[in-house]
Amino acid sequence: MNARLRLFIPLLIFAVVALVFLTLEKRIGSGEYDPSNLPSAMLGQSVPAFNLSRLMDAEQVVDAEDIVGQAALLNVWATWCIACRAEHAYLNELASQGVPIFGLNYKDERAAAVQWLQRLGNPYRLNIFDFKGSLGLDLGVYGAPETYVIDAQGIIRYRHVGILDAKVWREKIEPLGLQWAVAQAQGAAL
Amino acid sequence: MGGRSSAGCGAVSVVAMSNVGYRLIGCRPSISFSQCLRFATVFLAGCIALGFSLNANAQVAAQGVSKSDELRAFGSTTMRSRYYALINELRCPKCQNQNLSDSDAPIAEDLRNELFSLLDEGYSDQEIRDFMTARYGTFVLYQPPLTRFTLALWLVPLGLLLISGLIIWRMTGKPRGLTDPNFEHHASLQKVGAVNAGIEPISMKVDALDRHIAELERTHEHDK
Repeated sequence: MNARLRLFIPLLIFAVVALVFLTLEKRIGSGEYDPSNLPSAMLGQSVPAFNLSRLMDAEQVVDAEDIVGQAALLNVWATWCIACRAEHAYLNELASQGVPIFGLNYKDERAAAVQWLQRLGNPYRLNIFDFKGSLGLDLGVYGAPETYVIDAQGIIRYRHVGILDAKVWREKIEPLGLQWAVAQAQGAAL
Repeated sequence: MGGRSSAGCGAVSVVAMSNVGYRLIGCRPSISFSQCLRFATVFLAGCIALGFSLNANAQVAAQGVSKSDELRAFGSTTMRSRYYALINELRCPKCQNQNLSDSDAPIAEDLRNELFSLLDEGYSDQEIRDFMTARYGTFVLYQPPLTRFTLALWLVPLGLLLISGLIIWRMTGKPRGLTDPNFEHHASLQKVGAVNAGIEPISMKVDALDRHIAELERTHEHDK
């Protein structure tokens, strides 16, 4: 190789490295790739067993059987979580279209959580009160909001970290091909 | 620690390549070979020292990071050291690059508490790692297992080390300095020297030396 041309090798290496980083940056910018978004270790596994109280009634016990039986969302939320406030309107919308949503009230205060639901509307069929975050730990929750998609057999099919919105529903949850009982009857509203 | 050492290895390789690379592609750096080698040695030593101090810092941080850690009632000193070893080894799932002992994230605190109760219940170190991976995936391990997904992670630093080694071996095998008369740029240097009136080309010096020797030999024969 021409000795003069060889001088361009470092520039070439730089260009390749720069290209790699630029592509990565672009994918992060467009939201296509999020390095803080961990794939759930629970995918393809059953909802872990738990025994906790209901948010609305401290005396009433909830376990995994109460939420398994149809395709449903399990939404991890808390009143201290600002992003949960942002996604709440969309959860209300989904619930009004008949999508079963269960709530996992994560490391929160009972009174504050009840008040929140009274003020903003309650999209949840049932809320699990997980004060210590023990179910959260078994699910691999590392922050709120997180939303787990559970099929009729109680298998975790997808986990979304962050705000759930129409885009996530369309691009991530709908392609799973689950039967969203009532939503089907309402047609293409979703 | 794995992340740190491989990053360090990468940095060393890049620096080694950028310094040494210019020698390989045939252009002259302004520093001599021995200077370059000395620099590389100092740099490497610095990196290693930095690595050790980071490691030490992590240990120190672990000893005094959290009030709740100080308040834990360890059953034995073995349990205590296992606890600190594990919170240094396990990664906080919320954070991009902090272990459980470094992180102030609520989830890291939860996991430290969980870790403590698992130790208390008599779980082995491996069982605790399995418990964490079952819930949070291999992300929580700073020492990821060798699978086909992590192959690159393990092999790239080795590859870089190999390349660096090759470069250094090539460098030290054939030292070529400015004073080496066999250097391939000798001819062009002479030309430059001839143009530059202040510098006498080497060949002229050699010629002068030859003449001097010849003269000496003549006088020696004359003496006989």
